[in-house]
Amino acid sequence: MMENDWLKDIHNRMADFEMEEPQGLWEDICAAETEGTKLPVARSTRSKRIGIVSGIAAVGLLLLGIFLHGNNDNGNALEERPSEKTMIAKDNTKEMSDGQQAENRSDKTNVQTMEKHSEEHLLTENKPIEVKSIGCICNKMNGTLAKTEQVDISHTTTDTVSLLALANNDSPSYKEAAHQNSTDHKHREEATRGYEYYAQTETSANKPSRFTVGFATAGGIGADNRQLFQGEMMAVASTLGESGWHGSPLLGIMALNKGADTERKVRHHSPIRTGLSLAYRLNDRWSLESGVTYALVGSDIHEGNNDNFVKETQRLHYVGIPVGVRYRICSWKKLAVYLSSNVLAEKCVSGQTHRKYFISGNVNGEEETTNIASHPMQWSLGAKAGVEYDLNNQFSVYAEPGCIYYFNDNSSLETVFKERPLDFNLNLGVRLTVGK
Amino acid sequence: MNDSKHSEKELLRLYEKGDRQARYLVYKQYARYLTAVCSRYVNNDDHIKDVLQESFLKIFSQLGAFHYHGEGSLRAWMSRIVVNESLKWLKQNRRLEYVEIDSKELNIPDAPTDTGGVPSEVIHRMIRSLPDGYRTVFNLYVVEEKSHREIAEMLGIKESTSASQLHRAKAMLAAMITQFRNSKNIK
Repeated sequence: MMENDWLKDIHNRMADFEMEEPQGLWEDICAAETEGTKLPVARSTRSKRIGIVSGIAAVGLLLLGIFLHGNNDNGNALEERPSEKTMIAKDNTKEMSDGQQAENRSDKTNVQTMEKHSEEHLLTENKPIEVKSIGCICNKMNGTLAKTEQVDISHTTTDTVSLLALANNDSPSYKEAAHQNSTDHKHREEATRGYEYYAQTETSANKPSRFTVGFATAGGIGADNRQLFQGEMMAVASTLGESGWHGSPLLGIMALNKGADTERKVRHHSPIRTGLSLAYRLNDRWSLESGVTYALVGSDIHEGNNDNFVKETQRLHYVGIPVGVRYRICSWKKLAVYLSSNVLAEKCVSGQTHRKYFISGNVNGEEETTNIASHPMQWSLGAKAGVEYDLNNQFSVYAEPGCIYYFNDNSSLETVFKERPLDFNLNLGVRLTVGK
Repeated sequence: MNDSKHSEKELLRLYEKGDRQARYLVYKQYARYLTAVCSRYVNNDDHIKDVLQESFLKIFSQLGAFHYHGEGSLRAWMSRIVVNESLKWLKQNRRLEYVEIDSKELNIPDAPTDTGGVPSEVIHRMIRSLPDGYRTVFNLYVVEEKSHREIAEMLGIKESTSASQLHRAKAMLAAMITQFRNSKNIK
């Protein structure tokens, strides 16, 4: 329905208006039909494919690293973990050698004296047997040492190696070993305590908690976008008086720019993401992770020239749920290193844009805030390496540098996710071990 | 080159017969018009070709199933395909901003505007220069003659939002036309 004749005129004219078609259009259509594909691949689809391949490659590298690391476990365990925490006896050699972080941390003071990588040899027999093994070896050596109480295992590696060597009839004499072990009473006491710890650990059947709760905040790298416009509208507009565009400041600004070049600068801030996570430990290496996240995604837009411009801020709020896995590579004293990967599903729950109009560099008095109608789902794939430090039995802090790839949300929103789909970020957080 | 136009019925008959030139004839007859339609929505020249390619591939794949119902129906059908592909591109690649305005502003009647003496290509250029959201709603309402309810459904916005965009678009366009006429001393 035409309200005005001029609109009807525009309708009639545009209904028949024709213009030169793009050069090579027919050839491209024929080529596409011949190949049976749609071409060319749109930029967004191309970048989406690149992103998917990158994401799969990141996950593949993670799994490869885990696989290679797992293979190395079977070999030079001593070399790779120079100072493993001691072990709670487990069912198999490997796990015992690796130790269990949560358990170790909760009884750290007691077992610190047992932190010797060479102990792995002694521990390969399982459970308190490892301690008994020490005692047995000593008894074998000199016949004078009582069980484990007199075993000095708090000394350097060398001592333990010596013990092993003795057991294998290799080097230092039995006398020398006995002398070393008998001269340091204090260390023996510590060793005793350590032994007692093991006994207690085994007999009480205390299992480490499988649940950890974490709180983290992450930041990434933002992105800039600049577009220079030589707007056709500017070419046909010229200065109007204020009354000509009153109530429509955007029109006024565009008219006042008088055919000059204008620029649209968009600065996307790195998303600030925070959240709570819950991890369930499947075994001493693997954990499942999930939780809830909140992200604030902001952008600043400047459109116009230096004198007449529109300044706009866009703020989007996302709520998401991550699901992923974590693989612990190694641990040393209070530190642990791991790899993790997750899929994050986020929903834009709300968003606003706030505009300010500037004429001759001064705020025109016009400001408007708009609610954004689009609420898309944002999917992403992330891979991280993490370092965790135990504060005490329950709390630990961690840092996780990593990368994340954002898939196209097929919305009209202009966000850092679209401008920079592959982002690098740093997670910092606190973990709490709960339950039993 | 033979520039004679064929009737739509004849074109479809040739196509159904399997005439190898039928597709090219359809293309040649409507490419310029469909380019103009596309360019009113997609104001980035680099992407018009992409959108038109997608549109023609879709047209040719569905041409066999098209039901002819009078001269002009084929052109209208192809135009709708181009409009849909253009809207799809806009949604995927652009930020379609929809600004709510005060209802008082909506009640201000449009200033009378005279398009006499303004060439069609200038009108076309003015429409292309409108911001994405204003331009899209203006094209759908004024040129495609869609209602605000239909536009709201197509774009996923409220009817009031559609009305807001149209109001702003008309104000901008009217200002540009007035200024053009003044600059050319058109009475």
